[in-house]
Amino acid sequence: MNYKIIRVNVSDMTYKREEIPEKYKLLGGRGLTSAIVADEVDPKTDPLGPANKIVFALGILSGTSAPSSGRLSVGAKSPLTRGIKEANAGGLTATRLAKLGIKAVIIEGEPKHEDWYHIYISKDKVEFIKANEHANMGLYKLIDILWQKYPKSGLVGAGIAGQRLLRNAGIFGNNPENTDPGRYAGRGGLGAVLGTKKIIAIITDDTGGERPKPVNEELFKKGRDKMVKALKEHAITGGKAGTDEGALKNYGSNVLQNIINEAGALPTKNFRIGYFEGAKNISGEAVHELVDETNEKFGADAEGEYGHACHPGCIIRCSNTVPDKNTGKLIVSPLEYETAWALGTNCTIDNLEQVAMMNRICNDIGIDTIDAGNAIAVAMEAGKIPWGDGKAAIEFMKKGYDPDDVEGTTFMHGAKVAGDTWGVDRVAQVKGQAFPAYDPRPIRGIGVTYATTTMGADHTAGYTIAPEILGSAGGADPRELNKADLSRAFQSTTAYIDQAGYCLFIAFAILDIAEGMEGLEETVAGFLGKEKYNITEVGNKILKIEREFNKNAGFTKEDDRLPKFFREEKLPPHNVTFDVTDEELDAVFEKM
Amino acid sequence: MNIRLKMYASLRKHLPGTEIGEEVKIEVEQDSTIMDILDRYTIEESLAKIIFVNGIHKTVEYVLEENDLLVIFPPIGGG
Ligand code: SF4
Repeated sequence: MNYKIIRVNVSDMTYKREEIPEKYKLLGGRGLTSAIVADEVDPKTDPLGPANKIVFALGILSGTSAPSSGRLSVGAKSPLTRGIKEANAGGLTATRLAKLGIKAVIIEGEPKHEDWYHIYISKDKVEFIKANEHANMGLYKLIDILWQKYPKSGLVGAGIAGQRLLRNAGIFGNNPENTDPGRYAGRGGLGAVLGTKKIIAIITDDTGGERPKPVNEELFKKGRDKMVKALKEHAITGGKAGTDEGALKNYGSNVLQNIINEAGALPTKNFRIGYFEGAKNISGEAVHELVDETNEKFGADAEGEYGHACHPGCIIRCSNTVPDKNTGKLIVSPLEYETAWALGTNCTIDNLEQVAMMNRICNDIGIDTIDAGNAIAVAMEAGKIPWGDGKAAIEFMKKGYDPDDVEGTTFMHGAKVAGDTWGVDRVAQVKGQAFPAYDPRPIRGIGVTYATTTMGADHTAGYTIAPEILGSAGGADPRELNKADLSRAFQSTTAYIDQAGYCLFIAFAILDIAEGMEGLEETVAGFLGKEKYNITEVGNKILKIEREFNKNAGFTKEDDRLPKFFREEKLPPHNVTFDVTDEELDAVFEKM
Repeated sequence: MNIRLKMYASLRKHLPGTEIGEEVKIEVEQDSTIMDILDRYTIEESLAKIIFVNGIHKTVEYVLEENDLLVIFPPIGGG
């Protein structure tokens, strides 16, 4: 397929349809966003300045019949970490762009105007649509308005936070039903970069487009069938919603809430304790029960759901819709583990309805939930909100709607800025990005990933939890200290999966089922018309490009460290500290 | 002797009438292994994918002690 790149220049509001340079032909997703950012953005540039660019890129397989492959990567120099950033999400845009033959959209330049615009992309044209009336509008309302005019379109963009250039602004995405803007490429403040370009939304209409065709159809299909088989067979990715089988389809990613808690590694009260009594109340099991109850009570009017797909073609279907228990109507979709932890457990809030509402506010104003939850914990440290008070937390978050409210604005910059502003030292972050839902003291490998990934503290970048806690790939002892090799292997495989456009959750199946792993390589090789496409080699190459960018941005080994309190303060109930040596951390990239 | 038992996700059906995460006290014979408990509830070994005793991973051969907290999960993933 002859893909093109759309390059939008907001300095003069023009665009070009470019051929894909030879050197990018085998890239997609994170591989492509990171390569373009590394080639075109000066690592030292101000991330909120005119020289930064934001890149949207489909995975190699997005839009094809490969299962769960419709992810969209977004990349730029991050306003949060000041390093390179890629975040990816489901939603509709990747598969829509694929059908239009567009591999990437690059937005660059410095607007010479004060107006806000949407970019409308269809088969024949790219249009700029003036959208001042949509500025500073909540995203639930915005996506609703946009679908009235552009039904079935894929929507991604910057919400209120991004338009105000705040550092925890995510890139929202509408879900397939357009009931929620919650398909976020949330991390790293990418929404603020789009905000600097005065763009609110990218609207993709794939009418008249066609599904991309693999170069080697036979190899692609062989690989796809292996992948489908592995995903269906595996107990985590397979099964059926509403039955005893299929962890992700029934409980979603939030099935982890109870297990990480029972492992004594669930960060509670801003990483003070590894166990939260109330975790069960906001767990995937609790959402499952609530959905069943409200579906029974409200019948056809009920909107609660589990086993939901975040994009067309996902057969794992880990997504959900949390219903209001009194009406059965949607509060938010999805509620993920990381979010329930950040907004709930980490702030000692165990009321499911309140946590869902907090998630909804994040989605509406356009911020990443993980950093938001850490920022609320920081506000609790500073005495601005009582610990565990969900009602007060909701009121506090609503300050974010008012551009003149200083506390609300600080909160929307994320945990690090909030800590610096409010005089709170206890902020769990690396490279300015706040920690996800696993304490690295009892689970050492994930700490190695937090410290060393090019992304700032990020669990998805090298998800060692799979072997360390969940027993995948033969298992690994969570307390073991030599985790450089494990973290590197996961970081590399992840980069490859991200590049292919597959959802990371295919990993659970392919780590255990050899045929699935073959399917991964064969689908990619078949689509590109290559004989082989080596997973580790390609993964490492992406990591090296990103690492080099960060080095030139001024990062040193000292940036690959966890905050001191993880080494000094014992985490109950197991009373352990993070004891991995600095040499071991450095070995992740030195030995690559 | 007595031990404490919890089961999550799809295994909860083996402890009917309990809340999510509720701990059940059960009496077991001295020197019982985790495998004995699985047999007692007719849980296939492959479904007891993740087992913690007092918050530490254990395998089915582990011999239980008085007041141990045994927590069993089926194969699960997320993140
Ligand atoms: S497994 Fe979940 S997150 Fe991944 S693509 Fe499917 S619905 Fe989306």
